[in-house]
Amino acid sequence: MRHLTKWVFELDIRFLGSVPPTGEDELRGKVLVGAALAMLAAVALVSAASGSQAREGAGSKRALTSITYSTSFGNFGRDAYAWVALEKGYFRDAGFDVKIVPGAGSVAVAQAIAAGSVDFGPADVAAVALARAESGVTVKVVALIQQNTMAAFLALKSSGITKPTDLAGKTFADTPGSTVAVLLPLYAKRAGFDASSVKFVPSSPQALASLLVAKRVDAVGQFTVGIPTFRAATGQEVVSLPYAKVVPGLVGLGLLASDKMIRERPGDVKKFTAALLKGERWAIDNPGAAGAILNKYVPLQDPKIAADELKIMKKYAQTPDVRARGYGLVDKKRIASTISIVNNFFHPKNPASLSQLYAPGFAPSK
Amino acid sequence: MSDGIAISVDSVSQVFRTRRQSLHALDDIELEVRDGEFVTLVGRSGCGKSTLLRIIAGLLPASAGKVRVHGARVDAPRRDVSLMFQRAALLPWRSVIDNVLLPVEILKLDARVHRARAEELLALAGLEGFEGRKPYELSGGMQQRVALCRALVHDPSVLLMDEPFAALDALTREELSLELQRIWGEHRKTIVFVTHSIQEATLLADRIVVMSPRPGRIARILEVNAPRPRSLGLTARAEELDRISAELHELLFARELQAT
Amino acid sequence: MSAEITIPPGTEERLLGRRAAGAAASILLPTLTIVALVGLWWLATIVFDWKPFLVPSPKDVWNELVAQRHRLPGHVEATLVESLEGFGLAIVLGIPVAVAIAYSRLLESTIYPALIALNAIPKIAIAPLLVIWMGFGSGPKVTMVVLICFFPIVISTATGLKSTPVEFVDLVRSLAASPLQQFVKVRFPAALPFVFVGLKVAISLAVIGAVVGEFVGATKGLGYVIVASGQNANTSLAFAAIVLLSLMSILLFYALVIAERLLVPWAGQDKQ
Repeated sequence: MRHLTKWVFELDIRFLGSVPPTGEDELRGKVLVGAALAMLAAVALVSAASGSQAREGAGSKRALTSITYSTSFGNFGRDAYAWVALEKGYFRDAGFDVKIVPGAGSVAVAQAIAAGSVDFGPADVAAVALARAESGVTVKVVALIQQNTMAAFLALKSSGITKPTDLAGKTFADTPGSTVAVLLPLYAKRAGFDASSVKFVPSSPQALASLLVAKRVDAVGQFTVGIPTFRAATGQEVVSLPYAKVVPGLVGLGLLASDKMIRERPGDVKKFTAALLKGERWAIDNPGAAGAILNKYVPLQDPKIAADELKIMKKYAQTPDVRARGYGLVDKKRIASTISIVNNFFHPKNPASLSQLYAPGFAPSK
Repeated sequence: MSDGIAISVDSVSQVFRTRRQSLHALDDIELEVRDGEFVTLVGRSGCGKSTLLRIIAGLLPASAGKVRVHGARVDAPRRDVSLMFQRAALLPWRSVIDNVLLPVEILKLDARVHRARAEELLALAGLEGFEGRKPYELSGGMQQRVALCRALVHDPSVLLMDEPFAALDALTREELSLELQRIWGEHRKTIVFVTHSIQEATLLADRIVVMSPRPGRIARILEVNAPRPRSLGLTARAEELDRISAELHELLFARELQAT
Repeated sequence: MSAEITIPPGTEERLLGRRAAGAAASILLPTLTIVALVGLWWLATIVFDWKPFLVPSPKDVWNELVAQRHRLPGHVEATLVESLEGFGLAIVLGIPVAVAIAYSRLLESTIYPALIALNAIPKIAIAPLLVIWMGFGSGPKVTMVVLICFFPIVISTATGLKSTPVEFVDLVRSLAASPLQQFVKVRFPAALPFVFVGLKVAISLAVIGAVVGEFVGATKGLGYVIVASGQNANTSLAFAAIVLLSLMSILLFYALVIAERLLVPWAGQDKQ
């Protein structure tokens, strides 16, 4: 070893100094350069091999398709089914290498999918119908994650808000493209108070709990499944005002894909949808374990609270119809009814039609 | 008060200490300048003439020895001692007249009286009509003339000048030397004038203090008895000035050869 | 002073003409560049068939500006006021701190590291906290602006105060001026060119600070408009707000440039 070191350094000094290299030095030089190149090549080969091996998994020979999936809203239990599908290999078996990114509300998810930066993600059907109608966002629903909307206002019990009309004159926070914020005028009209008396402050998902507990806002827009999370985050009792009570008939979140993807890669859409819905089914049936899986990937999330969210979500996602026909079920009449409620109330420039908003064939339908 | 001695420098030495070495800038300087006398300090670079001037001005405390101006010990700048430097240092945000009036403001003197005086001085320096201009509109020579007016506006008894014309071209330099001589003729002050130029020294001085470097010492003091006004033109009687110039030349260059 | 030189006739007209052409060029060239860029943008939206909710065309943005012309001025005013209030406050707070740093070695060695640490905190990270602490009013936005503008103003002013040319220092010292006189008559005016460097950097950041503050919790302002436009994927409106923000930034910057030319006319003059 010492000999080798001395050999290398002698060469170095000779080359750097004013002493002209001898024939022997030239040989040394060539050997060293060759060795270096060989090492580099070896490192490159090894890393390439190990890299692709990580992607393929044991025994699989074909390459996986990269997919980006956005959650509906942050990294909470209500979206845990995506990580379940990842952990249990449903995505991999379907041929996908999926990256999960946190979403920030329905309109943001829809926009990201239309832009192509995200491939799939859940978003509220009513909000997407409005976004498509007003701004031409080119996305379609391929499956329903929840049959009924979970949208709700959440408030601290100590705020004294118990019924919808209590919201008049109050302030609430939510992400700007969220269901609650987008559909507020509809909710207010049906409940019988003035929507313009309510002050809406656009905020980030992470800030909502602290805003509520700091009493900067009276209520936040959320989903009913968020009650356990907010109870834990604020340390107080939380009341909810569900949209479903005031505007019955609204369907819940739908899985979105861009028009382009549906047109060009319907096979991928079908396989991915099936894998995701498989994950949803497993998560609803095994909420505790699903919570643990979420915690594995997102250590900041409490597994028990995540499990509580899934338990609440069960009655929205697993209706008798779903039990009969399968997860992701799209009842055409109900989804059409949701769209027309939105169109009739908001009178957008280009009202969305059912065919613009829903792409059949990727999930069970009725 | 004083016995006709404006400035007395008594055994002044200056040592600059850095981390690695000490520099003997001045070694045991003895000098007396009489009221109204024009003394020039001449020497090669590094002979300590600027250092000596700053000590007399009170800007630098001497390592050893003391300086008195009009009998009073100097340990800080005095109001009756005025300075001029190689750079005119006119404040660019003030007009010419406001620059001249700067000492009046700082010393809180009567503004109206001194404004008239400032205008007089500017006229005397050939800058009538330029009162409202800004310094950057003036040439280098004009700026130094303004600086001279500023140095005189509060009627100091002593004027210390550190190579004030060194940054100017040779012709302007000579012109300003003559200006200075003329103004000094009208407002007689005690002047200590530091210069590199043999020509300036002989033209302006009553006495020339020749300094040698490393360490700074007074090598010789030459008396210049040529009558005033002096000039280098055709009407000048140049013999005395030529003699002094030649002698200075010998002192400055011979000394240098000896030193190496 | 002035020599007798014969100037050929017509020279003065030619010189004036050249100067006018120069002034026209300095306005015309940037305008033409912007027009060209807008044209390229328009072309791209057509060629690549970009949907308006992703990348609106200039026409979409213009339509939105016209459609919202009654509501947008209120938002412009909100952001402008927040930016200017924060900027003014940063000056009022920053200059005394800079003076302290310049005049006291002790304060410099204690304050400086704290300032650098404070400046290293990503402002966007504390923005939500400011909302929690101060609510949805202008408080958090003005605070953000102050936090962003403070550092450049302090640094440049302190540097300016410590960079007084030595001949000026000698001058006032030789006149036995008091420290206050030295500051007011020489040190501070001499530092003004430096101060303006800091001000120009700060004003470019001030609008950004206001917008960041509005992103995390506001009910008015151009930042709020950008966020709220996400509610119905109205990207044209977001672009319209961005255009207005850019104009605001440009105008504020050039207002400072003009102020500098008026207050510090000697900066950049040839020193002779």
